[in-house]
Amino acid sequence: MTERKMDATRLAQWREAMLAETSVSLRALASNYLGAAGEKLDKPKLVGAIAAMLDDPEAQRTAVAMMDRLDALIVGTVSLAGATSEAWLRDLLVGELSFHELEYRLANLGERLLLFATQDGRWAVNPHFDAAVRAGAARADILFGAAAEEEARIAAGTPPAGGAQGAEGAEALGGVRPRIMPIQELALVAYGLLRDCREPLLKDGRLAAKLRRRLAALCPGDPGAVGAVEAIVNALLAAGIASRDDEGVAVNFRAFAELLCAHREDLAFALAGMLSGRPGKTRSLAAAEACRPFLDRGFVFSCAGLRRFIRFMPGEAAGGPPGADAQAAPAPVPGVEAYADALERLGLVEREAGAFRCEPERALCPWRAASQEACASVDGSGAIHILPSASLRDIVELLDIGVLKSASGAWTIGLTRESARRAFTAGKTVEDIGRMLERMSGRSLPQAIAFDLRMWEDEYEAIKLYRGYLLSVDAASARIIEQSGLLSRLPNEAIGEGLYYFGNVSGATIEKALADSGLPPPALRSSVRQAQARSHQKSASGEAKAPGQTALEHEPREAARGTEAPRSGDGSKAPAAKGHDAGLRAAFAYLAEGLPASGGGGSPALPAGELARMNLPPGLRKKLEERVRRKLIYTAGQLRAIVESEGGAGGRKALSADFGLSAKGLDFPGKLRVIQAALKATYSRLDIRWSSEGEIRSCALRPTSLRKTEKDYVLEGEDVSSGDPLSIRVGSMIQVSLRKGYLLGDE
Amino acid sequence: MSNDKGPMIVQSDLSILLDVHAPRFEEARDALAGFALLEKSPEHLHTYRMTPLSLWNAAAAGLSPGDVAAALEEFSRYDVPKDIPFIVADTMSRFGALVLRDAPQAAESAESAAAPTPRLLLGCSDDLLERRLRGDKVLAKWLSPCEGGFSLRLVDRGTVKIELLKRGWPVRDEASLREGDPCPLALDFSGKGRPWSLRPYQAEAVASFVGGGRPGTGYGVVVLPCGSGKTIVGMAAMAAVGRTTLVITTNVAAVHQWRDELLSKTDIDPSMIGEYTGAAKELKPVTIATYQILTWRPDKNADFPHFEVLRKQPWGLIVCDEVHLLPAPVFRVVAELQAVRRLGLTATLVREDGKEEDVFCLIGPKRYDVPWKELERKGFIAEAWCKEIRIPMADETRLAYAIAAQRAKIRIAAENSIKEEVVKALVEHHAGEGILVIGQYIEQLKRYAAALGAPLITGATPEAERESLYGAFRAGQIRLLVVSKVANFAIDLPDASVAIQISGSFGSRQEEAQRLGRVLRPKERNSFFYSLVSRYSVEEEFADNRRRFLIEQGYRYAIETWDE
Repeated sequence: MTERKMDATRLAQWREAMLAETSVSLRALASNYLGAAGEKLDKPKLVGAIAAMLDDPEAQRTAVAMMDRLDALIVGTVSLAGATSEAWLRDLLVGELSFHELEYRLANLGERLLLFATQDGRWAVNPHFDAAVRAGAARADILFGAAAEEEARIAAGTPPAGGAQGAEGAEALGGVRPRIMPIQELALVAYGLLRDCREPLLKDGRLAAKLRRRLAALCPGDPGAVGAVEAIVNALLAAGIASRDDEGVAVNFRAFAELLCAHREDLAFALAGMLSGRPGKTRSLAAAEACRPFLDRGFVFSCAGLRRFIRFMPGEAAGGPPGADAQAAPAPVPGVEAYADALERLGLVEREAGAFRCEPERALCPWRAASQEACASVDGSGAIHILPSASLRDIVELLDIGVLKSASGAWTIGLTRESARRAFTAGKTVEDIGRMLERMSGRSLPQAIAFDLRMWEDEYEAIKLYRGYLLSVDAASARIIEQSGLLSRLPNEAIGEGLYYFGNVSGATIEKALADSGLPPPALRSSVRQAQARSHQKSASGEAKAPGQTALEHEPREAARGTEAPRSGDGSKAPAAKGHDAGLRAAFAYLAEGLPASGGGGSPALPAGELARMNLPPGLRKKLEERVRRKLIYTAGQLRAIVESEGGAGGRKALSADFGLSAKGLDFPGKLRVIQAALKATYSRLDIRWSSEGEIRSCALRPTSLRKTEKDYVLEGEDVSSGDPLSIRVGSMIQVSLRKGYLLGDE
Repeated sequence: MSNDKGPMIVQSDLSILLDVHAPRFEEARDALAGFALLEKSPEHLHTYRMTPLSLWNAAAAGLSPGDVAAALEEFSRYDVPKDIPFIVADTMSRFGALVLRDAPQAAESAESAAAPTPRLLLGCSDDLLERRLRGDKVLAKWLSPCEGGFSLRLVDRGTVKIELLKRGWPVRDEASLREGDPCPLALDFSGKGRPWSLRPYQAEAVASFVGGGRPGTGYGVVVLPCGSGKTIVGMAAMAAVGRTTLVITTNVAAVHQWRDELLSKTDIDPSMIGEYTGAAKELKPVTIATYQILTWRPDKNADFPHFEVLRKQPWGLIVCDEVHLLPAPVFRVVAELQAVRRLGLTATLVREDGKEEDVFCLIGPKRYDVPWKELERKGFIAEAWCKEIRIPMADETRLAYAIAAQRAKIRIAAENSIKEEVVKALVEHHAGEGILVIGQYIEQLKRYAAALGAPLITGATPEAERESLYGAFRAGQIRLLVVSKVANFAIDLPDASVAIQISGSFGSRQEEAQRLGRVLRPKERNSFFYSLVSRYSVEEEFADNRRRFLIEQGYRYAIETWDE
């Protein structure tokens, strides 16, 4: 090979390295490879002479032939990886040779001029040996193969695994050979099984026994099918396409279908990537391309070889990132072990006596991505035969409405009552199903099937069971719910006055939405009848509900009477309220202890008495009485402190409307601060006085949003008393005060 | 190479879908019949399957693996899966590895001169196989190694064939069949005043069975739909063979029917026909017996006394009518009749116990079949319209059904009172036609018989009365009969064109086929088969299974609801 055809960069590096050798070592090299170096050491001339020697084909042949397996492994790895540090090399060759041996061999290979060290301390193949090394060392069987097994196979003249087996494979009656199913088909099988089975996995991630049995029937003669389907399901979980919930495994079938249709040749590798935390289509396509030649010939990897191969797959930093510190130890490449494990679990490689044999049939893609031909035949018994012209999307659509009956060799799907109901639940109608089947078969639907579908749909509509939450609210709360947009934010249906059904929503989400709308958190009840009796009618003792009190306020008194957990009407204990509800109940019970037995309204005695004794300006008194009424004053000391902070009994200082924030007049930023504080806090209200069309108006507002206009800000909210929506320009506000909300609802 | 208009879709599980709408469908079907079994024949796609048995039959008929592969290639719409030619070749190559022949006569010796015992010789062309057979301890009970293979007794012929078949090795049986005594018999096409003729498919069936007398012929099964004249095929075979014949059938009524047919359609003398049943024990050149008598024994450990009697007769031909009903105990005794020509006749080779292979092995391979629809299309059997009528239950019945135990539910649904008005409406609609009302529950049938003013036939009806009623129905004197399960079996009611099924056993496919067969005799008008099913009941589930079977057979099946 002429210098012209060699890697110019590496050639330059080699020359540089050679020239950088000490005189002694260069003289020794020259002496070894050229004979005596001469009295006068002319380095460039010597390097040139050595280069000329290395260009001799015989020298090249001999150099490569003298490499043993480990030498070839080292040199081949360096050739494939490009210039690489010793640390990286060690990592790539883990399990093949010890630390010291590698060191020794590298030095020896350097002496033999097969490798050289670059100026930055990395090892590279001498460019003069490129072609010879590629032919003699950088070979798949050396770098990755299980030498002993491969040699034995070649010696036996056995064709690579995956080709047609000979007669010795036809042991079963009639010579039917077990069929290894491709991952593409197993993924379709998994799709079909997951459609029917909500609990496919045991806690340890293995397939449930019921599914194993079904798989054995669907994939007869493929002992690896169970493991592969198990791996597929776990890959879906890893990728978030499936998730565990209370009922088992919930699958996003749309995402699963997209996965099947988007990845064809690379589906197996996409799944391996998902399983090992290395997802991505680019990666999976690259892996498929890299693995194809190995799969096709049934290559046998050694254990270390497989891991090395994975490291060399496109996208992996086999030789270390460019410019990496040559001395630095490589960061562990995440997922190599996991990827190798994933390949095995998916059946792409089969473990055989410590080595891994490729299973090419697993990587086949028998189904096309799309098809316009008639792809199925429907007969009146409900059997749908899938023809070879079907596409992946066709099969997925059929699995969405039917049950997989057979999948090995001949795919058949059965339309049953249960599968039809499943399709209805997913939103399909009889017309949808009929149109789809007629399109796929090119014929009209058999009358018996059309009849069955209509009948099943009638049954489906006749009796329904819903799971979710039923929210029951009074009229005022109903107005707020409907006007605040709570309904539009959550999936729900109004099923009566003040009655809302929430499906597919958690209780916590509903509570938060209610809280965001300024409504109190609901107590979870177990009896609709009991809740209605308590909240809107006289209590059992005949006491009228105090004005302004809500149903929740009754509960503490009842609880206090019995000093035990609230009971439902039939005497059984109410189910324990969770979290927030339990805390509230406890709080109510505590508060209730301080309340008079009559439970009537009116101001608490102690603060009211203290207030009465104070000599206060009327305005201040009125405000304080309001606060007492709102139960914001707990102790006499608190009352006195408030009075003092407001300028004492003289009322020199107007009591602020609230014990917090207020802004007025020209304090525009202050008003904005107050408003923003209210928006951030829960249960907050704003007392606002503003001018509008020449009039002074005031209200208590529950703020919902603040919007900037060209010259002003507009506060949106809801009048607490009327429930009407309001928009008020901040610029028109005379005074705005923050009133923190409290637990007992609006006054 | 694929042919985008080809009618066949060959699948890697050895099943073949045949598109009935594709060009060259009939050619492809004829080709398939030689090496594949027809499994289902619904509207659009018929399903065939290449089984070891079907491929061995093909080999026995002289087809080569290349012939099979060529047929698949020629008619296949898509590429034939790569493994298929290999599997076909491997399977077919097994046929002929074992050949059963008459053993050469033993050298003269004192023992052989006294009582020569005819034996058979099983030859094996595969050394490895022969070593395996020699080492098989079970087979050693019947096979004695000798020069040229293995020697076995005549009486063990059937048993050995079954055992070898279980091990995946079919036997090419070229041993001679016993000729039996002569019994010449000819078909009489005058029909004693009612002329008739042998239809083409019947002649083909007989020819395929007789096979020109070549080794390896003279035994097998002919599969023809109910109403297509299997009895005539049996008689034609008897005429072709011309030897003493034992006919085994399902019940005494069928025995009488055979007798009547023989007398009307052949030149046999009445004195030549004997009945061997519970009531009569006549051994004649043509003897008609029931399966029950053949397998009767005083207790489970005793021998079959009647079988012993029959076995010793020099039969030349044994005809097993409704061979799919061959009771399992009969297998063993039939195994001992291997030296005799054996003809099995059936409409449905589907057994609920899955022993189709045993039937093929002991009686012989399937020699001839044709789909029901094919005969219907050619007008040889009536065009049948199947309709399932879903009938609501009255509120009180629904309530009773809802709270009943599972077993009681079946009966409540079956005895849905609204069915009666449906039956009346159907009877009125088909007034003048021969109508059978068929059910399972005797009390229910009694009510219907009373309500309809029709005679009732059950298992308890005396034979003479049964025959009289059948005769009156055939003569057109009675146009409506209410019948129980006895109607499932071989009775000939050629003028019944309507069958109304009000209840039935739990989804038996065989029963469905038999009931449908009652209305499929050729006639000038179409036939109707109604199945009444209570809505939202277990009957729907049973009806589903039965409906599936009929649809798979290719029948048009519609479902309607009965609006009160």
